[in-house]
This record gives sequence, C-alpha cells and structure tokens, in this order.
Amino acid sequence: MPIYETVFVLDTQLEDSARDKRIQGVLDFLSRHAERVIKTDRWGNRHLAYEIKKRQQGHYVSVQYETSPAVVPELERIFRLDDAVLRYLTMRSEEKIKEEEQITAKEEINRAVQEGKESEEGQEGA
Amino acid sequence: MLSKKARKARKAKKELDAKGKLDRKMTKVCRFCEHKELRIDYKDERTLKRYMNERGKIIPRRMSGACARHQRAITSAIKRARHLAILPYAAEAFR
Repeated sequence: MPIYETVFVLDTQLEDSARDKRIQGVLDFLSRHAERVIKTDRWGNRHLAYEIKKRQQGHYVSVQYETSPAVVPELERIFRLDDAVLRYLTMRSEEKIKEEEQITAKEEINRAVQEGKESEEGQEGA
Repeated sequence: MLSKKARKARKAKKELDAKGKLDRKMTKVCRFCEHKELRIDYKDERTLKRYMNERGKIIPRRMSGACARHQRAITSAIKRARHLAILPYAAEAFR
C-alpha cells in the first residue's frame, strides 16, 4: 500500500486541549482506517509566511502513514469541515518506500549469501 | 558519489580550466546532480529559500544552475511550501 504524508496547520488561538483533541482525532481516524501510522511529527507553532484568516502563526503537524488511497479523501474531508484547520497537504512519499525496498533487497542479498555459505558448508561436511 | 553527467561536466570544466578559458557560470553543475544524497523536500524551508529571490520569486534555471529535472522538482516543492505558508507567495510589503 502506498505511503502518504499529510501536513496540516491548526489555528494557534485554539485552546491547547482542543488542539490536542483534533490531533488525536486525526490519529484515531488513521488508526481505524489506515494500515499503519508510521510517524507523527509536531513541528509546533511556526510563523506563517503570510496571513491566513488573520492569523500570523500556525501549529504544524505532520503524519506519515500507509493506507489505501480511498482513505485520503475521507481524511481531507475532516480537514475541510473544520474551521480550525488553516491548511493541509497530502503527498505520496516515495522516499520511504524506496528505503524499505532497499532494506528488503539488502536482506534478500544477505539471505542469498548466507544460504550459499550454508550449502557450501554442507558440501564440505559431506 | 557523482553521477555520470556530473563527472562529465567536471571533466569538461577541468579541460577548460587548463586552457584558461573557464567561465564559472557556463560550466556550473546542478547541485542535486552532483550530490545524489540531497533531496528536494517541500518541508525544507532553508534549502528552498536559496532558490528564491528577496521578493519571493523562484530563481530561473539560468541563474540557479539546476538541471531541468531538479529545477522542476524545486519549483513544485516551492509551490507546495507556499500552499502551507512555509514560504511566501510574495515578500511582504514593509509595515
């Protein structure tokens, strides 16, 4: 399944508890519908490059997760309905997949090498 | 690790240098081709800022020295960063 990365920006005028509730809501949604959540990264409050809804600052959160593509529009629907979400962006992250592929490829090579050694040893023993 | 293209460009540069004809701008190699491990990421504000002028405009390829593929990647990364208000669409007027 593809891996996605979503960054969303929350209103900083929100109470801390309300903000945490929203972040938790997103994570809950993902844990219910996504295959797995790989990483969540709270960048915290950042200065916005330009004003959005009269706000100078935004609370940035990024989530990386693996899911079927059908879940993404559902998640974005949640963002769209919530006025406290100033911005959101979902991208497919190719990088992570490549890394994983590399790891599995490496493992396969290692396994092949080891199997080769073992068979050699077996021949020597016989 | 240098890519084939970067190595070739380096060689051409050296030859020109030997002849004393080196024009730096002419033989500039794309940074992202030269260093394969560098990634262009829309979250990387500092790197992307180097490809914008003070007004917030994207620097053209002839000045940034990026190859076609990487210039395209830079451009789309900057546009994504702009959407998230990580980078400005235009530099703010003085207040």
